[in-house]
Amino acid sequence: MRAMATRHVTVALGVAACCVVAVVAFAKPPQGKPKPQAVADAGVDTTSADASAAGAGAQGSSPTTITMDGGVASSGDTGPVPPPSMLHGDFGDGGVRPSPLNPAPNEFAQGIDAGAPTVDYDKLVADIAALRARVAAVGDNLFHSRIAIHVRIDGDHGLIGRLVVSLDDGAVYTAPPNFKADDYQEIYAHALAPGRHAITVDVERKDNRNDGFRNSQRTRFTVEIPRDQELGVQIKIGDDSDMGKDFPSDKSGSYDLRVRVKAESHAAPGKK
Amino acid sequence: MRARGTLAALLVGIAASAGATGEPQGTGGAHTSGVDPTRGTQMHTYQEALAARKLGSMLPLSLDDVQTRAAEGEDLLRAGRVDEAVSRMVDLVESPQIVPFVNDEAGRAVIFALADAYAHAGAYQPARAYFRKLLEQPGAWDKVATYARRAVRRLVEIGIESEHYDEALDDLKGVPPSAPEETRGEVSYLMGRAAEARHDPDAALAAYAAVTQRSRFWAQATYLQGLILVEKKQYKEGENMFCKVADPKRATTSTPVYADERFFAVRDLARLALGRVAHEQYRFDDSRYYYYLVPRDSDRLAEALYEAATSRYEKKDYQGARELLDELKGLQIHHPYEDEAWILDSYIDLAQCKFKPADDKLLKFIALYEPVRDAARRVQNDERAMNALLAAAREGGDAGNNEEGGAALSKEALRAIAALLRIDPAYGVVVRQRAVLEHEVSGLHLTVGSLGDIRQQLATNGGVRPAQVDKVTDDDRARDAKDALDGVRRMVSDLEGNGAGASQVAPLKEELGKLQVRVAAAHAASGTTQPTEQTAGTDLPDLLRSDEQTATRYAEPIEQARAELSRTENALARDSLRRVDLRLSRLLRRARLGRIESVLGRKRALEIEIEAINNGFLPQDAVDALDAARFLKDSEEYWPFEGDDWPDEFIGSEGLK
Repeated sequence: MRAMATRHVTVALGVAACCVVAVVAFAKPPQGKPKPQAVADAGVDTTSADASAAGAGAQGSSPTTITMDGGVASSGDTGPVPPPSMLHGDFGDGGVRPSPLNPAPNEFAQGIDAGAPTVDYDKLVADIAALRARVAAVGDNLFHSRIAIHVRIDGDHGLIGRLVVSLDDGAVYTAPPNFKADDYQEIYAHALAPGRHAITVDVERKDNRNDGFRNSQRTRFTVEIPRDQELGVQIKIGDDSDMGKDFPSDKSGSYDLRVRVKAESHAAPGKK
Repeated sequence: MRARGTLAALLVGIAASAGATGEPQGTGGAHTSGVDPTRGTQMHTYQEALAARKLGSMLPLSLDDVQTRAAEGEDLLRAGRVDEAVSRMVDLVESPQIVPFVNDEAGRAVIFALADAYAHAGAYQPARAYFRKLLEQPGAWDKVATYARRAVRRLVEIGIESEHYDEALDDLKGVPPSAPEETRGEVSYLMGRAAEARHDPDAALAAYAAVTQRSRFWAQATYLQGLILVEKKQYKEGENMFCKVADPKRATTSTPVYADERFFAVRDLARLALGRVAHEQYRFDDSRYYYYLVPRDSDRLAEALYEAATSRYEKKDYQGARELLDELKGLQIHHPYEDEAWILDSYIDLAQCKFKPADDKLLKFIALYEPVRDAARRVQNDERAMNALLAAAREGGDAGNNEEGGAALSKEALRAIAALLRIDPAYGVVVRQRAVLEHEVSGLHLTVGSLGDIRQQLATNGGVRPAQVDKVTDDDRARDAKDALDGVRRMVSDLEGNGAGASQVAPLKEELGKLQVRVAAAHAASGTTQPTEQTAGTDLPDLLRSDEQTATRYAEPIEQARAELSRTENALARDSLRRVDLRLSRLLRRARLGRIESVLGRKRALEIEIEAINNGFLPQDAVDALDAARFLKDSEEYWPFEGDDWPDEFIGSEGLK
């Protein structure tokens, strides 16, 4: 490494030059404005050649001398200058010094001990999933009334970041990433008790011209499912927002996200 | 010698493409004592209770019906309607009408669809139990054995994803030696991963060697063999393994291998690994060639260019290193090596004695990355901001849009942190587990409501559901309280970021902490209900009551699981940011050292110049100073004497001596 070689050659001159710089700096009258407090570097390895340099920021208030390896030492150190550690450093195979850019071992991911789990997560999820499945299956067998929810996304520049459709506050559909539905797409169809139910549409959209502009909306609709009928619910998410296009240039734009629902009932299909 | 540092990262790479590392969460045993692993018995009891009341479908199923409903299940899964697929398939698989078809292809298709749906939902225990049921059927491996082979594939995927290797191998112990070659390859690959997880490299090598080119895991197994050999310092053998995957001369005449999108990811990793091994052995030209093989459309291109530049730098080919760094800059993308590439760039300038540009670059680096490092430290103290930042980094979103950090954290700083983050794959596993749990808990709300509806339906012989009351629920109140606290937290963060003193902010933070504890306690208390004695009985109302009680009993373990996952998620997120802090601190130290070297270098250059002048040599810029053309204005011209004067030319005073 040529930079290292340069450092070898110039260290002696460097000491003298930097002594002068340090003394000149010390001789300056105190400034009116206090210096901001230096922030300490993390992970300083005191055994490495870099460690001494690391303190350079932190020891700004005391007169310092730059050592041969580029570090700093207190001017009060009057003893013999130790040999530069870089000349006795740990060489790699073949006598080539490891690159100074090599990451330290502690920069790699180590195992994290977050404590032993007290809940059997797999069992809990399996139990809940099985309970939900069997109750849904029993409901499907008992109720003749049904609901079928369809979704359509309109708008040229809106991308769906998140779309969750809930029925009576329980999520029944979570859209996959980059969900698209240019035409009505069925997302849920199931038997339900006749009567009133709440559908919640939780949508977050972002602009494909500048995804820094995004908005979310939670809309709750109440629908009534007639006895022995299937209620078709069509959810249309329209987006005419122009923030991503207009605001960066004109400093003026608008969000226009609309969730519209159309419900229509008809005779429920026969059970298989 | 960059390779010496980065070789350890080889193992990290495979984790991203072939599964996550880290300790498994939970025990996950499918054979939990006293619990039906399929959880199908209760559904079966429901079916009997419905039949006793002459409810539900009593008609026998035809083969066509079974095939149609199996296809419907697969369609639902493809459309992402996983919950519906699970409920419909459970209803079918546990119904008495399916019994005549269980041991033929149509019945197997239904069981497979149910197991697959459970696996998609993240409920691995019942999924594995149904897959095992498929494998244990008589005649499961006869003829083409479509569903047995598919079940093996999914079981291997579940084993890798959940890292419950021993349980997955236990599930697969029934796979006969006569199973197709690719199926045996799946099992061998899983055995290799299991051996690696228990730190037995020799067993892993043997298992991976049994994975043939007919297996979809051939590339992964060969690459992992190479890694193990390199870890054992058997570089030559390791290289041979990597070459098998990385072969740039693969042609139609080569032995065909199974290749999907994962093959190309592993192939790029193998090429990087070859470069690193060559780099490790000081074969810098070889390493340059291997890094060059990483194609331009690869996600690993930035990594390859940066490491290739490092190897050229170490070979003292500074111009070559510069060209590679220029190519890296030309990509105009954020990549995890931005900070290190910047420092390397400056050191190349130093090596070429371009002290001024080097110093300028290092100054800019310190000015840019010191605030980034400080922001990374501040984010570590803010759980919401930290998790939002990691979510953006993991999903490739714009971290600058993270509103959780408040105005104190600049967008650019957040984007820079997100670009530098190297997220532990275990973090992704925890986030996924949390998402699955939240989805199931949300679905549980609907289930509890449905149980009430069903009971009422039975009690009133078809009554109409009472009107939906739109009153504020406990969940709404909890959400409002959390939102209000988030607002306060952001304001406190803004105060901190805008220079408010620690003594001013500390009481506010203390108060905020107390409020957060109160909100969490209130939220936990609202979901906790007193456990009641389990109702016995097999009639429909008894079963419904029993399930209602079961649902309420889940509240406590759900809260515990949420808390544990959140704790793990935060610990992993904090660790990622801590590592960014360590790396930036090292590079900032290196930048300061580089500045010192640039000053010393400039001084040395001056001394050489003085020495040369003393020896009678004018420095080049002094020679240039004698050039008259340097002193002309733009509007002036200078025609130097070119020696064209003729001896007899009239010069004005002819004849005068």
